[in-house]
Amino acid sequence: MYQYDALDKRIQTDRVAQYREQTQRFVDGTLSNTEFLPLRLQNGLYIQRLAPMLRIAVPYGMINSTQLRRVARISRDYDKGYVHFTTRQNIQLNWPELPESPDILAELNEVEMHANQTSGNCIRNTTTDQFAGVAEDELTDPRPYCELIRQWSTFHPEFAFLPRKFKIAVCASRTDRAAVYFHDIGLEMARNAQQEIGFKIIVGGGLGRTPVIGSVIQEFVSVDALLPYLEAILRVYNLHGRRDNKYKARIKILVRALGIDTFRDMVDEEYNAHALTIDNIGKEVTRLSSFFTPPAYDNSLNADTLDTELAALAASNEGFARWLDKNTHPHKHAAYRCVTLSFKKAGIPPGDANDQQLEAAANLADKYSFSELRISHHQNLVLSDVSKKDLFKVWAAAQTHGFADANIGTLNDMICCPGGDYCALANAKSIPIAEAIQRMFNDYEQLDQIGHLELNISGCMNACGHHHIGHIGILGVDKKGEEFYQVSLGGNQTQDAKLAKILGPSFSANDVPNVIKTLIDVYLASRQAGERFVDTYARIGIEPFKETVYA
Amino acid sequence: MPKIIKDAAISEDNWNVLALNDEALSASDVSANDVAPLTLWKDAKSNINSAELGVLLDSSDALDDLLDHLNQLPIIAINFPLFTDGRGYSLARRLRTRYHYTGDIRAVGDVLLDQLFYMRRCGFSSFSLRDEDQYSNALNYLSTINESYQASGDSRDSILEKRLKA
Repeated sequence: MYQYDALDKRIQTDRVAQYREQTQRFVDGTLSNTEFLPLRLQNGLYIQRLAPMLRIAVPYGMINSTQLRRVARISRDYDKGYVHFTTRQNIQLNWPELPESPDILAELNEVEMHANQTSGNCIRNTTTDQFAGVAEDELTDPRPYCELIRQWSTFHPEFAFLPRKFKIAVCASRTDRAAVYFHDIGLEMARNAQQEIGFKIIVGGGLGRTPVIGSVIQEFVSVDALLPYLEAILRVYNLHGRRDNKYKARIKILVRALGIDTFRDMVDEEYNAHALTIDNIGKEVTRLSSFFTPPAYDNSLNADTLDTELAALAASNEGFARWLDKNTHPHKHAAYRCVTLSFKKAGIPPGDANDQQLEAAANLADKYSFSELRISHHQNLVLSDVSKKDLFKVWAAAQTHGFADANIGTLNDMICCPGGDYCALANAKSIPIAEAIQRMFNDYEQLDQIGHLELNISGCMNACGHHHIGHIGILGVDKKGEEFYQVSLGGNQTQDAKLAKILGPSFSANDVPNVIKTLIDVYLASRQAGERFVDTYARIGIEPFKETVYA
Repeated sequence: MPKIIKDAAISEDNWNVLALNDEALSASDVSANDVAPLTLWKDAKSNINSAELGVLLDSSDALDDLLDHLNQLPIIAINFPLFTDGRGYSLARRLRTRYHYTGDIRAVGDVLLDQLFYMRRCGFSSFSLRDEDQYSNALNYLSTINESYQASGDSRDSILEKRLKA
């Protein structure tokens, strides 16, 4: 993965010193709360319901074992010994003290980590596929381009006070695991007729109060034009995006108000006026790509033999068989698999991990996966390069540390925001809802029978739990001071992007698990061979679900 | 005379920046050494030697009316109604990199210490601070981070440029 050179080190060390001085002025009282607010946000520090929250950046989800151990140590020394993985592949600390936040950033900087622009009205962490670089179905490794964008967007002087936050996602695989149609800018890697690598650019997607599927602004932008084109989009947005109402300030509202064609004309006009391409950008792409070369795979391994051995192990061990099926993913090297460590266990908030688990995962990465891990958009950890000969050992070790639940891609692998237990914005709690559903569907055979199902829970309409794009979405709403939950169906975050439709009137917290059960029963009774929940829904529509639930 | 920061030093301001949205003002009130709001500037510019008249833009103003006059304009002031209104950064950037404006670009309005660095990087060359008492240590805030990843409106070589040249 990417490693700092002297220039990266210098810029980040200056940044920590800058933030330390700003925090000191705030503590002294010479910098007002209003004036400090955007400064601390752009260094990751929110003030939540009960305490500050520090969101640590994990650029495009990549983290090495040394960094993960440092995060574990920080969570012990400065917090309560646990962290939360976010849907944008970052890590959150829930209880740090504001005056200590510069020390945390300094500790992170020692292992080449930071919290730059993880909040605030600026360009946020660029996200991508958690299987980038190892997926069978990818056109090319998107990570060098993610790093190019990370550096370009870091401390960009023109875009630190945008109308609203701005999120970029990149995907290079046939199956979109980065939700590029639901970002302010989505980049889908593509080849043109000359077989050159470039980007299809999608703009104006997003969730939140007004969910919108992004529009294609350019079918193909070459690598040398990428940063100038992004800059043109951002400049048009910065100058023309609404600033009078924060709920109408995202780029999706501007694109929708102008229409994609007018918006494209404005961006093209800005882009062409500068006539900028970075001609020798290939040199930097080559340098960045050198950090993402394949690790030293053991090419003496015979994939066929290993497959036979795995099949035998699976035949004699049901638990391993299920884990192998659910929690491992094909790798482009036939003797390897990607392993997902599940942080979705009933009784523990989805995506939460304690310090010992982080250290155990770091040890597993050192021993079995070339010392690197990824954080997934689904709030789990991924060991991307595990040899098939080690899978059984990894499974056994994962069990001892409580992250071997064979539930990846199932109903219980839900995406869930921190909700009303932590967040000042939330209308309702989301963690207890996730738990109640996980307890209702606690039987592996039942989960297997249901198959692939994405259940997403948000505690308010800001939609951090991505309820609009869940096959089943749950949204916490406030009805005269009481917490209610609205259920929606049929969302899809991949290239076949769809927004979920609301089922009908909302339910009390107690009713939610039974409602989900009823929806599942309708699906199981109606499905045709090979259909996932979302496929059956697409075929039969919302009515049969509605009729049964509200009968 | 009010102070300003210019050429990385604190100095006396030779320009008189008129108030935005002062309905009592008309073009006939504008005189030499004024920096006049866009609408007044349009009417007053034929009466005053172009080297002695500047223009004041609000963050919502477009640059269109200035484009034919950029060679003569000695100063363009850009107002920050609130420090969180980031439009001024893009206006300055457009003036420097798209229209190659070489005169003074002045930040006025809600101009605070912690934004001076990004303003300078976008091409602002002089700064009128909101709080008079902050000039004493303001120069320290002009270059708080000693490297930049991206090219912008200043003359500094970006990290990307350094790497491409290496």
